[in-house]
Amino acid sequence: MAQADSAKNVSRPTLKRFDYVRMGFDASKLIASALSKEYSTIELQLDGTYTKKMNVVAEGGWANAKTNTASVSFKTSSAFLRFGFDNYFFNPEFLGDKDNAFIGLRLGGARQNKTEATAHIIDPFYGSRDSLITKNAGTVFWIELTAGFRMEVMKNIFLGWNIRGKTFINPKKIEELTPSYLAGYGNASKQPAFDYNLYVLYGFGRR
Amino acid sequence: MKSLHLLFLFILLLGACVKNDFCIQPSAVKTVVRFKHMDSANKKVDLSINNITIFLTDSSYLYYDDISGVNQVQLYLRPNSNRQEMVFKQEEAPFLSDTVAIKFESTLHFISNGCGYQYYFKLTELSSSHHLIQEVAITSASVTESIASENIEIIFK
Repeated sequence: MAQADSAKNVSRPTLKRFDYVRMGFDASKLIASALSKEYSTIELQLDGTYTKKMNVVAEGGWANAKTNTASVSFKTSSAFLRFGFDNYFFNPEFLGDKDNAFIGLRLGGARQNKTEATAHIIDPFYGSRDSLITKNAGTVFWIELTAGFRMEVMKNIFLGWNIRGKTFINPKKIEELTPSYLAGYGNASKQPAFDYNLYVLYGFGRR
Repeated sequence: MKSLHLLFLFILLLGACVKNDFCIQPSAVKTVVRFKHMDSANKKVDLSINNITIFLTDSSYLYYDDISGVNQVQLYLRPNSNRQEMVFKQEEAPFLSDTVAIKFESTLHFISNGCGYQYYFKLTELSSSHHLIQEVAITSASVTESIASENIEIIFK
């Protein structure tokens, strides 16, 4: 009885925001970039504890892409930022337990720069011709729903995956000369789009 | 937990399916010119012309070469120009031919990555000589990939 009373009186440390922070990169994008002739990209993630069951997340990165069809060819470079939160399903099984599944929401935005495009205009009567389309830049936003899992494989080293469903908020910005790959979004001609990540993260801070 | 992993694998497979850009749009837009005349009640009705030869003055292509039963012609306008002339000649009276002058503006319009760009036109002015032709008029100035029922009407005498 005395031991139970003393256990009740032990004060648990209060959780402070961003007590524990994780940072890492998406390994699947690095592998995909190495295998693709059309694009290369890097995605990074930073997340920090906000409440006992919620983390605030920031993601960023950049991409270069080449789009070549029979009718148009151009290059794009883009950089993105995503902000949001992940809501974890389960209570920790022990103090410092970080293995968990989650569902989350993101707001993303990317700035893209397009080079001068070459358009091959087909004209069966007067003869087909190539025309140059002036380069331009623009910013496009999207929202996404994500779900995933994080597992601590070694002390402070995490592996995890995300699946994402995303849709543009201002799709008209990306209608003309849609890039084959937009940083943070993926194939910009898909609306909505689905994507996945495989993260390697390092964590530090107070558990 | 297992179902989450299965869902992840399913999404992975979905993402692996990449659609190639392909094009099913027509390659160049056409201006539709319909032939009409005024009937006895002074009402405009469609007209089929016999023994007609139709060509553009800046091309060696003959749209129709002494053909009968022609009630319309679909023209390809030249993108790097703003004016073209179309000649109507009836083989029965070769000295009575008419020239229709069409003025227009062209703009490049994006269709898709697969189809690329195509020229659209806006008809701005129309005039003609009057040996065979009574009147010409622009009925729909916009020439796009949606083929209009009629862009120009030519009313013959």
